[in-house]
Amino acid sequence: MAGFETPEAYRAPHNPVRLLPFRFEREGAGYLVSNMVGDFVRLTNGEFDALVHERLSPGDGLYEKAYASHLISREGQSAQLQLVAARLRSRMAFLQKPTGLHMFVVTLRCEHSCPYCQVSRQSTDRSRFDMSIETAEKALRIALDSPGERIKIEFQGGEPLLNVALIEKVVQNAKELAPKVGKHIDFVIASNLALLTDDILRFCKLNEIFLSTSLDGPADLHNRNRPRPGGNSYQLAVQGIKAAQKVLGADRVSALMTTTEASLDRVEEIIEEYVALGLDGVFLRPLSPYGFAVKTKQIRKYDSRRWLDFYVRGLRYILDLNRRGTNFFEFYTLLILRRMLTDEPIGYVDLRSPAGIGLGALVYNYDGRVFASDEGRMLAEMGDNSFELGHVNEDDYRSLIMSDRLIDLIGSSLTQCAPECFNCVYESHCGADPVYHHATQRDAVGIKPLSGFCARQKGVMRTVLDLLDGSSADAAILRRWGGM
Amino acid sequence: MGEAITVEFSEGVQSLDALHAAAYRMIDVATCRIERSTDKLLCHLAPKEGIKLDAAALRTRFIDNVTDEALRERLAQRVEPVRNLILSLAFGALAAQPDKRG
Repeated sequence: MAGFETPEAYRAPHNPVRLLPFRFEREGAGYLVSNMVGDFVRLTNGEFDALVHERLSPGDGLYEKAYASHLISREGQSAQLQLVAARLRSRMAFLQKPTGLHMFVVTLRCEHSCPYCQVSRQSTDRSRFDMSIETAEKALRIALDSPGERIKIEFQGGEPLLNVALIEKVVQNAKELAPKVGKHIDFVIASNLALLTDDILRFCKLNEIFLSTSLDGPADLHNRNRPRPGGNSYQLAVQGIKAAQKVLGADRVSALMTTTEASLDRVEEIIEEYVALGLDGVFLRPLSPYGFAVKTKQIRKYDSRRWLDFYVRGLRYILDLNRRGTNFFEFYTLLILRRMLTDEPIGYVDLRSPAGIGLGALVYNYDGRVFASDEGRMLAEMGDNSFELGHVNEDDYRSLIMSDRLIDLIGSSLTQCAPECFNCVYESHCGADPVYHHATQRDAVGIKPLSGFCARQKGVMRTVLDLLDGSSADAAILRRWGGM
Repeated sequence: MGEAITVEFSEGVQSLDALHAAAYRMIDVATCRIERSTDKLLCHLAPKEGIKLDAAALRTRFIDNVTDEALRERLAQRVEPVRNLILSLAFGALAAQPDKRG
């Protein structure tokens, strides 16, 4: 006679609980714990103690919480390990598409004289500080040799529109050559827009070129941060943004701000400036320790803690805007959320390990030298050539990427094994940034408890986690940003 | 500058690696010198200039850090085999051979 099995027959075998790798940090009255792919869970002291001593069993709540968070498995079970492995592989898949970004420094000349300029712009001598067509052609050949099917060429300066003739030639050549090697190229010009003309806009429209510009906030703040002859940087930037939105489309122009000491009390005004211009978000970006920002001591005028206060106030203001119906992002938070809430392979060059130097981007300087990152060429203008990989006259893509210098820098700065980083609860979502640590501590790894980069990353992630846990209204907005 | 303190550990109970790791974590607030004395490990902690941390708070923070680092050390040993298995499933030869996974 047919019958049912006993309930025991349907129970999972009582194999012992097996701890999976996790990282933890004390916080208040409990622990913040993250698994191997960076999912976070908050545990009380009692729960944490029970977890590490494996005192958990099905039905006690903690077992289910720990199992769902990939903190435990059962001996002999393989599905969960395969799931964690697949997620890990997905998160690191950016390594399969190396060097997606190629930056052409078409000139170091600039008509602005910003005291925080990180690239040490020059104001004179066209022949000395402009990239030649020969150099540009060799750089383009290297870019086209990189393995990705889709690459981005970004024209940088100085002010790149001072050498717009070269940009036009590079774009034309690239469009001719790219289909022959099976590549698609996206183009970006990073410009202050002061020299933007209708002809340049038409050229951008024709070639689907994206414009990235700088806007530091309201007129007085922007013009103070970004002086130029005539004192009209703000007026020209706003005029340029509006013209680009009209001709290229609202989604074809974006702006970046740089936080100076004068910005710290004005985050709401800065955000409102972006909203008024119809921009879809702002990147509350701290100063970087390169170029004139160091020479003019701008970099010393505020520390990570003051920047974090500025960031948190700005983020809260933006969340409030969203609650009132204005869709507006803080782009760094958005990036962090995508790292935290999805397994997308996000290879943002400053926020990855292995570091994005060379593997994420190559920079072709006006004089033909090739650098592992934009910040690397900024250091070179200060006399430090640590991140110079070679020269377009002598090197090809392979020799640059396989250079001992690049391999040493990347290999020595992995967060997966750097002191403190390898045990850090935020490691899965952080980055190595060897250039920053070299610039500030003369060491590519850096002593992380002394690192402004580390303090900012931890501060941003703590803020985001608190918002996700603390308010369902904020969490709903943030989860939407993260693509959930 | 705050008061310097000495925290004592029994060498048989606490590993030197955990003390080093705890000292490293606190490098922004205190300088730590570790010395051996018979069967004891002595950690001399001096708060850095500008750090407002009294002796009791400094001691508590250091001991908490040592406890956490010692736990991290023990956990790392326990999970090393499964960690290596997951990494090989993700990136090693097993990643390319789905039938042999797990």
